[in-house]
Amino acid sequence: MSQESQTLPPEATPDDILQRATIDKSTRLPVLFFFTSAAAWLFIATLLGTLASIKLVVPGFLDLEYLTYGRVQPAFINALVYGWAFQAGIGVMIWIMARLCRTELRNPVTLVVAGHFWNLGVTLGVLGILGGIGNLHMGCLLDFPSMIWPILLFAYSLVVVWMVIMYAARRKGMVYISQWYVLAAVFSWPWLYLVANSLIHVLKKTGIAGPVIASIYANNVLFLWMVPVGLASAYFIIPKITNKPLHSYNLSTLAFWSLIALAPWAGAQRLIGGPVPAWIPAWSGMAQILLLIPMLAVALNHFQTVRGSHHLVTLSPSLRFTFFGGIGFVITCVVAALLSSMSISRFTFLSYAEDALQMTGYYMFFTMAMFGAIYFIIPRITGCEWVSGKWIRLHFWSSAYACIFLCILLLVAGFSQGAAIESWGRDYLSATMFSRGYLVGRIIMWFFLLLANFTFLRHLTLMVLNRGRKAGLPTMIHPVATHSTAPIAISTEGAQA
Amino acid sequence: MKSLKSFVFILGACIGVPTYIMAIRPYAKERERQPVPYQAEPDPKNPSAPAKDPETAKTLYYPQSYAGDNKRGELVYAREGCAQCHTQIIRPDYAGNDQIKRFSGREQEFKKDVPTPVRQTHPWDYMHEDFAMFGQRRIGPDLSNAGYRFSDKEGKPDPAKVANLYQHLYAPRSIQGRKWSNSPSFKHLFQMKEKESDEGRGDALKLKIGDDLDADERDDLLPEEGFEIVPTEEAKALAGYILGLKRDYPIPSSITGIQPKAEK
Repeated sequence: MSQESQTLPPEATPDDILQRATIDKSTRLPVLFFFTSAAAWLFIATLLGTLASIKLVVPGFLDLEYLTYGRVQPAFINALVYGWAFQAGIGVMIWIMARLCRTELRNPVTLVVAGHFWNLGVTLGVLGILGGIGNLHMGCLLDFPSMIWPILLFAYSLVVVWMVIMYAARRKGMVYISQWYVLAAVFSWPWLYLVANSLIHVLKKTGIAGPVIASIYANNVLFLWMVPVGLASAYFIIPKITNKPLHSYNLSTLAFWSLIALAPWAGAQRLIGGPVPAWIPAWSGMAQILLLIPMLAVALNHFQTVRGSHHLVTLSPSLRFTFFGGIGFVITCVVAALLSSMSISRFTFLSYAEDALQMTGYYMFFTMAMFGAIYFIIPRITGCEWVSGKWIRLHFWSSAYACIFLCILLLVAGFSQGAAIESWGRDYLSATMFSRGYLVGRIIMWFFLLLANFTFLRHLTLMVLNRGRKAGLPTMIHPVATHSTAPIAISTEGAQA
Repeated sequence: MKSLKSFVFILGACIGVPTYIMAIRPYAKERERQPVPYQAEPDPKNPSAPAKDPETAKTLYYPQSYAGDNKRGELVYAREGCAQCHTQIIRPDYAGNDQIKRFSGREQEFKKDVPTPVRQTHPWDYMHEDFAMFGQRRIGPDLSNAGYRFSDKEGKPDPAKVANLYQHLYAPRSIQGRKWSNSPSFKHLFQMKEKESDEGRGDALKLKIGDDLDADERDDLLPEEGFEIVPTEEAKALAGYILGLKRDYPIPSSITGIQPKAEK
């Protein structure tokens, strides 16, 4: 590939614009389906997450058999990952793939069927967890009842087949880094899910290998599925909105292959000191710390691309969410590397610090990156603009505030809980009381997330019901007229670009 | 990247090799694991002592399997999400202080101010479980050796302590001095039944409600006149499972590699 073909073309001809509009129109049905059901699941997951965080402080709240902490917490995390993250990610993957392959989407009904099966699986799974037939001792995103995984795998395999057909039918020429990331996400998850589930549910008798397999699977969902999808969207959106080519394509290739080579090894480090062969967590921890290399490469690349256009971060909703997601990616990798260190894991072993890692990875990085992509994609496929910049501002600030503080509060709660457990003379009263104050803070943060996600769901529903603004300039976070460099933003943010 | 085929091939190699080394091979090793016979009769006080009676030692294996009821209790334990808050791991001393933590084993129960290390948990301890019950978080106490917390000095279940366990499952904050507990109550594992006789059923709960609870809360917990709270079969299975949790069986010397010392 020549250097010119590896970056996004800076100028679009009228033909290009027409072609893009046709492609966007063809993806409308499946992408809107995945986005709306994802947003609904996000709201359900937020409700469950709020309930779970309340339960740890006021255990008597809603004292029902189906809503004990032990069931609500796994229901929340599975609804968040399989309900929201996967569906939003699949929607973004479809759209980016269609755009970058420059082919119209054929046979959208297959994808909608896949979406229905996926939703069926997630609904049954979450109800199964709450109803008491889940595998709650497995954790690590494998809590769904044993019969759910074939449904999810079948639904996802339809998406895989569709993606391969799409890729094969692409217009020859460049293959952009986002496509690599999408393809990596497309192929890696079914393999990981199949291996984990067939060993645990079909062959059985996993003994101590079970938690090792599950821990690696959960970490791989984050680093081999969410990270590729989130980065694919960031690599697409950042050059588009800043209207600049990627800083260094070679650097992005290095980041891609080092991520793919290192991430599959990581995950078992959460069992440091557990009754597993000691080389497994040690090896995993090493891989997790080495994952700082792709993180640095990605961060450098994105930062250099945005450099000089930082004013756009204040204006464009997509760029602002994506940029925040990029910071979340850096924090996720740093937190994961810290928790993999032997001297620190002594105090964070299976404590709330793991919840902090989940919240940074799933929310601060992935969810925020997906919000950025959705704010970019929806105006293009519905043909109308977001209703209100004020709502976007409210959504951004309440989400950002909540997930920053969730990360800090849970990390500190984890350290204080772990330190209380580590001092051998103390009983569990101190481990509970040391972390309780931070857990109260966590409840408040969850109410901010409820506000944010309710705003988002309402905004998205209006857009899907075709009640967005029909005419006028693209919706910015702040009114455009006040800013001198606004024309650049308008030309690239609008529905036509 | 030349083509989709070579991309998928390299991706498959990058993911497939770790899958084999980190997941499939540990699993295969786990399937090969067999119970190990003791060469010597195990003495919990001095595991490396030689056999007193070699003939009886040959019939003993490590680890000992659960009884059937405990396996049912394990299912309830999994289903109710107990593992979300309770771990069953005792880390070695290089990774944490679990071994000398209060209530982590037998010695800690009876000599509270002089901690004697409990042995760390070992892969063999979990070989009779489909999926080792490591647990997700340490929000509640570790349960590796929970059986000893409800036993007397001879290692048999102590009725008063077992009643406390049932009360913890029924209403965790009602126990004296446990108002801070954030454990959920598993009231759905218990039934309110009419008393058949004046003494009541043998297995009915004997609640000893702490004096730090309000009068209202106390009234909510206590059954009405002529009624009593009876644990269901599931609650009994769960309690049986918890009472059976003792992961400190002496490890045979063939695993540890420590040869028995001659008795002085």
